[in-house]
Amino acid sequence: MNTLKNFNPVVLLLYFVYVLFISIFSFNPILLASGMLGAVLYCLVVSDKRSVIKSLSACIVILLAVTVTNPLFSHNGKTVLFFINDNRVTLESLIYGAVLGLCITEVIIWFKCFNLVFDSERFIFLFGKISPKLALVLSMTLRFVPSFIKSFREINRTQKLIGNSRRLKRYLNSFSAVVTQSMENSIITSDSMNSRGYGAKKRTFYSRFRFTLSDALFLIISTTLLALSVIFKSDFTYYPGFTFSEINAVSVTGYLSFIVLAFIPFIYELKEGIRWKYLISKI
Amino acid sequence: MEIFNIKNLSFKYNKSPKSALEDINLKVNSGEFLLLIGQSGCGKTTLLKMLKKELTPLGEKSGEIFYKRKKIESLSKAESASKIGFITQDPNSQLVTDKVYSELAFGLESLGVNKENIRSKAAEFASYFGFSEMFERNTNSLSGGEKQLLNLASVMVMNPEVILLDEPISMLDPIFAVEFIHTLKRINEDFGTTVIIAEHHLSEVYRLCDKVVCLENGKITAYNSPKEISVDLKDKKIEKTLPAPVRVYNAADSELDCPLSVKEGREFLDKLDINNNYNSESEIKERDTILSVRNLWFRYEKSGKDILKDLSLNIKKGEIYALLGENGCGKSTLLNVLNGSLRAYKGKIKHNLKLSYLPQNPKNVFVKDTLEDDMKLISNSYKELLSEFELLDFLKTHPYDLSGGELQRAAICKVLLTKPDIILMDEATKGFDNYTKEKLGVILKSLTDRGITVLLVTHDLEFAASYADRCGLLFNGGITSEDVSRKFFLENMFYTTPAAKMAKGIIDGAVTVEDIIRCVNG
Repeated sequence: MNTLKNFNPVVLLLYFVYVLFISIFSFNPILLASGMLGAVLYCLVVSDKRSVIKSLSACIVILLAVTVTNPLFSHNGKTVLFFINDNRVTLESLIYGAVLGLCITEVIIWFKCFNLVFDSERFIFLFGKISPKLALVLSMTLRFVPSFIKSFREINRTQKLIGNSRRLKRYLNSFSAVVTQSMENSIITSDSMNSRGYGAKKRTFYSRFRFTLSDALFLIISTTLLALSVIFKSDFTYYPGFTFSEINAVSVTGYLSFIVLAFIPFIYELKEGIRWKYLISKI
Repeated sequence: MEIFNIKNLSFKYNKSPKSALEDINLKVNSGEFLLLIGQSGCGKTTLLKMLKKELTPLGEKSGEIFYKRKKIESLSKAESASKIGFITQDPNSQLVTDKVYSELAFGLESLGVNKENIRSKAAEFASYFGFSEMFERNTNSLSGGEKQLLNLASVMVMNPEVILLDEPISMLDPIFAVEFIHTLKRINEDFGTTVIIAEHHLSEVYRLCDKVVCLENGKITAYNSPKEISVDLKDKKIEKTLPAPVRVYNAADSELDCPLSVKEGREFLDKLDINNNYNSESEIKERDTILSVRNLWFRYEKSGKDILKDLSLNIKKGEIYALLGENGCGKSTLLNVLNGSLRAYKGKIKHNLKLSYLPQNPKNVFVKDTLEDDMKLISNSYKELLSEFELLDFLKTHPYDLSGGELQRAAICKVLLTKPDIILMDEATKGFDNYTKEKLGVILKSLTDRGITVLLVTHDLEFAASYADRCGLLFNGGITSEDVSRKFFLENMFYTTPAAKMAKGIIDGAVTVEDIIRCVNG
């Protein structure tokens, strides 16, 4: 079940931008780790476990690779661990590498979340907000590409069966045939567009999505949390030695705001899941 | 009130020596259901396109067309788009967008209607046409029949006064075709929308329409109600496309009223004094089995359901075997398993033949710019065959420029060059008028004379009854009944030809219109 999808795509897009913005620019290990956790938990709730484990293992490889590579190129930092070919390998650059790796993998996992929520329909909606014509082009492309591939396969199969046996030549022949057929069909499509008034007036754009009260609420909450975590942000520097802002009420507010922000998708799914179970038990 | 008034309309395409339309005079009243009939190339499509400003082809035009007393040229683009709807043959290429709801909204978006209005209109028509469940589906995932209904719905959303349809059901399977025509009739009755439809599959639409117009070589040669016009069409080529009861009526030379439905046809036959036994004894040739399928099981996905279940089938040398069955029963799947594109997970297929395959879309057989180049891909000795199939004139023609019948003939030619023992044909008659079908049937018969076997998957019961030696019904993954064609159609109640339904119990043994006519004439 993926109930987050039901929010207005604009609101959702903003949410993802907020989270990625803070994760990338703060470069703070605590924020990165909690952002990562929020994303992973959300993925675990809405998609199948196997694909999550697969992406996570890929992430661990990237994380390790970046952690190990960074000290080889960056020799800043004051705590020297050992030398390789007269080059210093420092604790700071090792840690910096790990945080960089965490940042990259977190972005990857958030994009996975983004893909779980954003399908073609939602993209078209976003483009429709900018230009209805652009949305139409996108929608037509999304229809065209799969049907193009399908006809290519059909033609290729037929050609194979009637004895066009050299593979490369057959592919080329089939490709040219499918292009010709598509061009012919596009005349019918353009007639159909024309006869339904394409270009008669300035286009409007219809989509299934509306802006509802819960969208407004989601937007307000996420924007407030963003603002709080930006205002009360804690600094974290790596070179020459580690320095970070002291832990006090202000910095904790900043941290907490972001943690809540990053956990919104997970909490929301969990809440809907529980509500559903409760409803079933009532039925 | 009249909605169209066509006065002395003539039209000639640029670069064409002869006129496509000549001196057409026709009035269409508001709310009328008008049927245009005529052979391929008689000018039906041209006439329809003249009624829609945006689609009017280039050429020399004379005469006037008035839409509600206004010249058709004077309509604004928005007016013409919303008031006059147009639907063509190809269900697929008419669709523009990727989702069902965005397709429904397309016309209104073009007219600049605001979002809230579109929302309510789209919802209204989605439920009228039964698209509520499919509202968010991809248009690519719909079947041909659903696509054509969606095309109709996306035109109806704009609340047109008149819908023009150019052979809308020729690419649909029979059940969807009937549904489409009935939906059209329902629209006509529910909203008073005027319908002008050109069609050559007349079994349903002929009895539902108010007026029939017959076009021949660009001229109107008959115009009347369906009951009255039948006499005017007598002995014309077009007569062959008329529904079974009407053809029988024409052959009987009776003073009675013309029957339109099977029910009326039976009453009509009852009143005639006819020889009630059609001599249906035909010799059954003993033939060798050349392809045998034993206990075949097939499914597309590991966890999917079985499409073919324990299917067994024997095909005999030199026969035409017609495989019938409803949509999605696995007919095409079986062909693809036989030709090796798909592999069954259990069962045996035994043969040592050279198989060849003709796809549903004969265009897919051709990949080159001229017919000649395409033939050369297979073999250089094509001239003789092409002349036999009356295709020598088209050597330098692009295959896609051939007419439906010519294209199918050319496809058979190309396949014959591979010297097959058996040809598997998928829906060979789709989109053909009866005249073209007859020609194809004769060709198939001539193939069997050469010793070539034909396995035909088809929805076209009349074609199977006329030309197949044996028929089999595929249902729920297996062949449930199989017999010599005549017996097959005589024993079936629903899965049989209209002629057989008409003659059942009145003339024993008749399954085609020709059979009945022979009895009626003594």
